[in-house]
Amino acid sequence: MALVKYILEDNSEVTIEAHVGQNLMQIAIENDVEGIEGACGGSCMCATCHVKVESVNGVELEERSELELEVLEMEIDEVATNSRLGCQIEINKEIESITVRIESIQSI
Amino acid sequence: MEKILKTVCPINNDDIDADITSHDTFEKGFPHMAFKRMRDDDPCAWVDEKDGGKGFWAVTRYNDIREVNGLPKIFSSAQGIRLEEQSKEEFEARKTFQETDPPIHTRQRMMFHRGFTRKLVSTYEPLIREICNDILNDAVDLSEVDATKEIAKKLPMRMLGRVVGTPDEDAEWLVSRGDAMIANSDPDFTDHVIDKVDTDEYRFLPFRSPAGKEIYDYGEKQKKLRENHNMGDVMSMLLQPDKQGDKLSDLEFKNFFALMVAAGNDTTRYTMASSMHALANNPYIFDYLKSAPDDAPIWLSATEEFIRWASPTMHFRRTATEDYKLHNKKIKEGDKVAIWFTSGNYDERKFSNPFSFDLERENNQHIAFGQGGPHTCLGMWLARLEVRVAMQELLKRVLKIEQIGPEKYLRSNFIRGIKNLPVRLTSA
Repeated sequence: MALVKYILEDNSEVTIEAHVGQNLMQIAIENDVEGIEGACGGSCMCATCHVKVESVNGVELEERSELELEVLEMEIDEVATNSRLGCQIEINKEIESITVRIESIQSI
Repeated sequence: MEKILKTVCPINNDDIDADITSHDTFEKGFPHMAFKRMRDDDPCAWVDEKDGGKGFWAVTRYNDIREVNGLPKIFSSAQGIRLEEQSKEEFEARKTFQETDPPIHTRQRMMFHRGFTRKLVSTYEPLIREICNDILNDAVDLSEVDATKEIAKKLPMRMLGRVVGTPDEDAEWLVSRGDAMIANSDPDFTDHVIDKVDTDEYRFLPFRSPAGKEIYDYGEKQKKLRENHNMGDVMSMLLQPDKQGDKLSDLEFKNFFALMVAAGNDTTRYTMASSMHALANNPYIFDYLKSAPDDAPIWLSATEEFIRWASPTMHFRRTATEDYKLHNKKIKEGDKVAIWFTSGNYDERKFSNPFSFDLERENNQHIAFGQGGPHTCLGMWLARLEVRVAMQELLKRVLKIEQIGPEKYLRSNFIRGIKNLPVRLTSA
């Protein structure tokens, strides 16, 4: 179990207790967290679950994969060092809590 | 005056026991009551096919559709995505990246994805407004028009053509060939109606249609034009090797071109037609949007609601690669499973008042683009942009849209759409 805090675009916050094995996109969809579309269902292909990681407690996250970085660069105007696809961050036993800011790209 | 931003969906086809395999059923309008019954009473229902098909499971609730769509290893696309039974040879000849699973799908899709990213598509807005200008000015001059034919049918191919790099003058012909392929069950669009005449000799062509050959030839010509010459369009981009140095094969390119002409056109067309139908029948919605500036946030929520409301791709098929239990039904390995996106988009369990068109619907997580799985629509950013800009430009040119005759629906159990929408446009 880990605490996942989402900071929404209006700066309001939603905190959810998440299970090991779930990723940040799935958790957001299951809990109706606004701003995460998860269009490709976690296939690392669309960036509609773009978040910026503000903090992690317990462990350091793994580096972005080549594909994740490629998708971010194709879809996001300015990719920050903490830009991630929510679907690529899976809750594991080591993560105690994580805070991410939602950077929605649903609108065009 | 109180803002009334909601309206109730017209139910043209209220047959609670409608046969969802029959193309004729959908010609009477989407059978909302039959799907509501299935969602309520039998959300994973076995459906027999009368055309010789082996039958399929119909998954009709929103959450279940997302579950199936999100498990591509168990619910594979690599044995076909439409209900039609195909031999291995037919399947291989006609397949696109849509009929593959990850990781093969991921590699192929990324090749095409380069041309349709949100970042790239967002640069097309001025171009799309310019095309709207030509087509809408002509339509508004006519006053009484079939809004599907004169507006919704013309815009998407002109827009797609400019983006991918086909000449404007070919747009009408490409649309007619695209229709003959994807609307292969409607006699208004093809002489080779799939369930009425023998189409066996075309079984190796896209959509089992002779138009597939014409589109293959056309695509090949376009490819040749770009072989040693980058024309700065999406087709040129797609013909370049990707980061890993991989290039599309001839067949991959031709099948993608056919898919783009067919699927890239009609779904956007029918979303625009459905949107104009909503505007014509709901003056409050019309007035509210007409007074909203182009950059008002209401346009973003309205566009998502227009798309949910239309839900033109009604289903896709998957094939189970192992046994799976859903709602106490045992889906067996090899069974066909149809996920009904249109039904999911009207599921009361997910959407409050789903039969209300709600301009301000919050967190509208519709699945009209097949969201929730790797096969989510490649053109979704382009579609969203086209629908929003087309409706904005239309409303700038008219004071009133009135429907002056009954709408007609496409004869298809696959694509849902208003194929004729007679309206009177009062120009501004």
